[in-house]
Amino acid sequence: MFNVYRFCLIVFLCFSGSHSGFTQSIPQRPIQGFAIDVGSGFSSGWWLYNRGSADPDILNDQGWDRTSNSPFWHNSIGLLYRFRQVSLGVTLQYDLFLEDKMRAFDDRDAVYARYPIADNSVPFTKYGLQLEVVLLQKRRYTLSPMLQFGRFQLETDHPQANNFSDESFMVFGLTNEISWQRFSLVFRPQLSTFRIAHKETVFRNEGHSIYNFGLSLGMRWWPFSPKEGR
Amino acid sequence: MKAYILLLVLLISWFAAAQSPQNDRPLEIDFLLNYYDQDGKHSAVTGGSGTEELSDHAGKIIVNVPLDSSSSLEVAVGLNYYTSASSDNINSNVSSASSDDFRGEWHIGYQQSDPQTHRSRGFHFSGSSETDYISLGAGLNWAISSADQNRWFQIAVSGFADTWMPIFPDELRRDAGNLISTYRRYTSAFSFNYMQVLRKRLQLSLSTELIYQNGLLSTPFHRIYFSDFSGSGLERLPDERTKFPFAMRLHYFWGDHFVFRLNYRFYIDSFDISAQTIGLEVPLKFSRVLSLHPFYRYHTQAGARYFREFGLHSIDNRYGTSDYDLSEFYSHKRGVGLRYAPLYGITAIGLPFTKAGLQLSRMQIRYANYEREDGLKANTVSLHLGWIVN
Repeated sequence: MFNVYRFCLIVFLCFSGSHSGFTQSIPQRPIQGFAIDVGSGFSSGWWLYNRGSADPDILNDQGWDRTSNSPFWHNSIGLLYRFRQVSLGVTLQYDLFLEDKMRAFDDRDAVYARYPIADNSVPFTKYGLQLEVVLLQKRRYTLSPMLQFGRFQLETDHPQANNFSDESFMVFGLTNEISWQRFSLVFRPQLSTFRIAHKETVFRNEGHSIYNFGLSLGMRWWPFSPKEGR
Repeated sequence: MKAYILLLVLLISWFAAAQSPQNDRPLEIDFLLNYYDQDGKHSAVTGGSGTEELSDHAGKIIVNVPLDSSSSLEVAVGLNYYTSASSDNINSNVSSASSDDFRGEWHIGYQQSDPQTHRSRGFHFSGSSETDYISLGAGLNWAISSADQNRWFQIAVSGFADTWMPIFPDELRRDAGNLISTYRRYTSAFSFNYMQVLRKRLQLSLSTELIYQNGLLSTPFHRIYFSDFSGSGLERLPDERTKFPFAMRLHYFWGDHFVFRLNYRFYIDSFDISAQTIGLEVPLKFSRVLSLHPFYRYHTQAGARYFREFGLHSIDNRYGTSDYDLSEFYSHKRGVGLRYAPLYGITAIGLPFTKAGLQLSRMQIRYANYEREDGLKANTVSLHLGWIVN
């Protein structure tokens, strides 16, 4: 089937690539070199446990367990290297999911079917790579779509916790940066997705998806960048 | 609350710092507050029979930052809080978790124009989140205008990717996973807009759009009831939909005090809905600073082929909905707005960390009343405060 989104992405990249479109009129370069990147923020989202399907023609016949839509608290530190329009780096993050129970798929308000996943909150320790491409540079302001991906560990009382494997995450964000000499202030709307597979599966598509959506605020320090290097 | 105000002031100062000092266009900040309430008796949550009582409080901040003489950045953040007696009925116990909800949204857009070639282009990203879905969007636009600015043409393309966390009606949760084939929804839209100044006082604009949706197009917590089965079922709709709206606007400037804004919209989609809307707004300028904006809109539509009233669905039908937004109906919307915009602003305050000042330049209050043929009634009050940073 014709993939509309792949087509739009290609059109978008052609329109905004470094050889044409918006970035062609960039009057100045974004800050170059190494940066130490710290940030913190809040978002909201949920944990969905897909119990899978016995019938291959059915999306899900075993039910979805889920948490409520609850807050996440993010903290991150990373090291970035920017060369021309591209930044590459490593990131270490600590997130807290402020939720302690999951609702089973057949939970009804009259007959509660809920089970604990933590005493108070679920901590995630994430480590991975970060990629940014400068889309727009205007004087002090820089706009860069961002992708982070990597692995994570979590501490949870979920009944399937011993069966968890292949924990991975991706974060899609839009980094808005305003710079003064060697410092940048950053704010970034971002969507985070986490995936957890099961070591031993009984049903097709069995596994966990965690989504959250929010805002991160932070700063960057470019210790080796020339002060007038804009 | 003080922390939020401090954060807001810091962000405004942050945006003020992003401006070019050579730029003579001011940074604009719009605060929008909106209150909406409705009541009716045909809730889709309860299969087309039951309360539609809902109230919604919304706040939105839109910041427009001129980055230089030809480009600008727009950042918008909004928050809605609503209480809904109808969505409370997803569960059998009333006053449950589904009785109220928050929705957050953001938008970042960039626009660049070239006065020599009379062309402009832009892009935007957006996102929103609610209890049961997350939506991400992106779009591009390109426009060209004539040298005398009397003609203008724009092409825009946008796409949205939504992820649902399906919340099913209480009694259907055990088996609901059998009834949907995906929990994602994708929307693509291509739009074309054309504007022309026909005469000194007459302006025409035409716009059309082609919208294609696929994925989960039904709402997972909407019920239907059957004539040949005693239990409830889940609303089911095809997983593809194509929409085609066409709109026309005619603005006539009559003297220094009146503007007639006439608009007409035709809509057709692959669910067999066809609709026509006609509206008239007549802004009346009392003076250079004060104007009154009465408006009226009439809408009529033929219903979707899948729509049936409460208890009239057949268990053998593949698709069915009792959502009255998809039914055959006519509606009236009328209201009035008052705009106050003195030449030198209403009031001004200073901003920390910059030499900039914040000036309240305009304010507008608007009331609208809506009535649908089936008895749904709604009222909206909105307040718009427009600030500029000098």
